[in-house]
Formats: sequence, structure tokens, C-alpha cells
Amino acid sequence: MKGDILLRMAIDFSILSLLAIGGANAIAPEMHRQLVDVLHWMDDSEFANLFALGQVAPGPNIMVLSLVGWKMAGGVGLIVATLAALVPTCALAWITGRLVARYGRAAWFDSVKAGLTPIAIGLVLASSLVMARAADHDVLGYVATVATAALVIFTSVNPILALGAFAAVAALAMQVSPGA
Amino acid sequence: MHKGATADAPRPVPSLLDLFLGWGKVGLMGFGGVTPWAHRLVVEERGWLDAREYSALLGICQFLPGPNTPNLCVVLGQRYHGLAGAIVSVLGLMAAPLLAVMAIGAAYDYLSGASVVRIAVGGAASAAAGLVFAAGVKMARGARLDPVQAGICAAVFIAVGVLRLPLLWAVGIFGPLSIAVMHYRRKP
Repeated sequence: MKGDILLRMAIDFSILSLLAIGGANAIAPEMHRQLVDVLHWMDDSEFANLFALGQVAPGPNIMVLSLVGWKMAGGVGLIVATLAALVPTCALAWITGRLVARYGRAAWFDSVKAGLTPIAIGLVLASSLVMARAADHDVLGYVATVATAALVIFTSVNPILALGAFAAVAALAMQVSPGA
Repeated sequence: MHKGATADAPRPVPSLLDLFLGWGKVGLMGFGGVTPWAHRLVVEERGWLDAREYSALLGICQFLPGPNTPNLCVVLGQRYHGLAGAIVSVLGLMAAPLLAVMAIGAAYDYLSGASVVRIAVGGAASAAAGLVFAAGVKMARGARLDPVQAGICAAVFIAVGVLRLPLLWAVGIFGPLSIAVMHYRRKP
């Protein structure tokens, strides 16, 4: 059972990170599809919570995959998930770095960049939609999503403060109306 | 070649230890993502690259698949010390966050029995969805998409976010298509 989980993570997370055009923020839809819909490893809320912890944790946001590894299979899971998330993409970065060092930025590079830019943006926006659907169950949830988005777009407040603030608000709201 | 006061000053070449410790600091600081801290380390603090070189390098790494900053670690580490430089940089970046993730995961497992903790993290999760949306908007602002690119962006959003098609299909279809369109349009 645990061996199966480790193998699944090694394969899925390698592919996932190789498809992560736009970085870790781009992969929420595919993570959700795999972890919730296909593998049934967790439900909506748990997925949303893990993704949020991955945003709050220090380090690159791709650590969300390490967190899933830890949750599913402890320390070994953490290591397998992290290696799967990093080794294939770092190998690709290594090769690209060598090519750029040797040949400079070739003309095709600008085409690749111009072609992948809209894809990265589309994926990140899709991620936010999938996360909002998984996380927002009531009015307070929608308010937290919209308010944080507005705060980060229009001000330069550290977004982690917004995450902390809405965590506190949610906890308080529960205390006030335990039945809601 | 280089701008500003440092034009003639030789660039410092970091040792393996410099790379490990420098990226280790970035890993520790980067609550909510490490990209701004990476800029601070490489350009402002250590002067390994100037701002223009840095943005050229980040431009490459942002469009490589996978996490941007580890990719940047690899490419920069490679320049100075080859494979050892790349590995040491990534290890430095990831060491502290991995420990933190274990602590956070263990604390969450232990505490999530209490419903107030689950609810509180749920509030943070709703906020995190807004944070990711804002990141997408900021990328779009900086990118100045033309109408064709905007159309591709919308198609990807609908395919992945609304229709929930597998990412492999979306990237496999729209990636080559979008690159081909851009390449064709750029030809004189």
C-alpha cells in the first residue's frame, strides 16, 4: 500500500512539475484532479488547506507537493515527493543553462517565451478558480478570496498578513456562531 | 557591458559555501514564495549579477516548467561550479523549508482534530485562492498580451479551470500551438 503510494507520487509529481509552466501556482487544477477526483486521497477542504499551508510555509511554493508527500507517507513520502518535484525540472534547467551558455539566446527562445507566457497566465488564473471552488463554502470564504485578491493587486501589503487575518476571522466567526 | 558604478569592478565569484548559505537564507525568508528574496540575494546583497543580467536569467527560468527559483539556482550554480554548484544551491534553498514543512505538517496533523484549527486554515485557504488570482493578474499586467495571446490565455483558462481537462492535454495542445503561432508571426 505504502509502496504503491510512493510509486504513484514519484510518477505523478514528476509529470506534474514538468507541466508546471508558470511555476507552482499553475498546478492547482491538476493536483486537485489527481488527488481529489482520481486517487481520492483527500477531499476538497483538505486539498485547499494543504495548498494554503504550502503558500504559508517558507521556501518555494512547490513545497506543497512535499507537504502532500509527508501527509500521505511520512518522512519517506516527503523525500520522494520533493525529489519527484525537483529532479526532472532541475535536469531540464541544467540542460537549458548549458545551451544558453554555449549558444546564447537563440531566436527560437523568444518564440518559446512569447508562446508560453499566455499559457502560464491562463494556468495561474485557472488555479485560482479551482482553489476558490475547493476552499470557499460560505460568504466569508468568498469575501476572503476577493478581498485578498484586491489587496495584493492594489496595494503592496505582504499577502501572508491577509492569509493570517482571514484565518483569525474564520476562527472567530466559528466561535461566535458555532452552528453556522 | 554592465551598468552603473560596478561597471569595472570584477564580479565576485561565490564559493560553494557562499552558494549554500546564500540560498539557505532565501529558503528561510521566503514565506509566501521566494522570488523577491532571490532577487535581493543575487543582485542587491551579493552582487553576483546586475539587475539586467538577473532579469534575463529569470526570464529563462520563468518559462522553464517547474518551480522558478530552484531552476534559477541550477542555472546560476552551474555557471560558477558546474554540477556541484547547482546541487549545493538547490540543497541550500530547500534545506530549511523541508524541515519547516515537516513541522507544519506534523502540527497540522496533531491540531486538525480541533475544528477551530481546520476552520482557521480554511479561512487562509480562501485567502490563498485570492492570492493566486492576484499573481495571475500581475503576470498578465507585466506581459502586455496581444489579442492572439489573450485568446490563447482565455482558452487555457477555460480548458483547465472550467472544463477541468487534464493539464497534460492542455499543455500538450496549446503549448506547441501557441509557440508555433508566435514563431510564425515574428518572422519578417
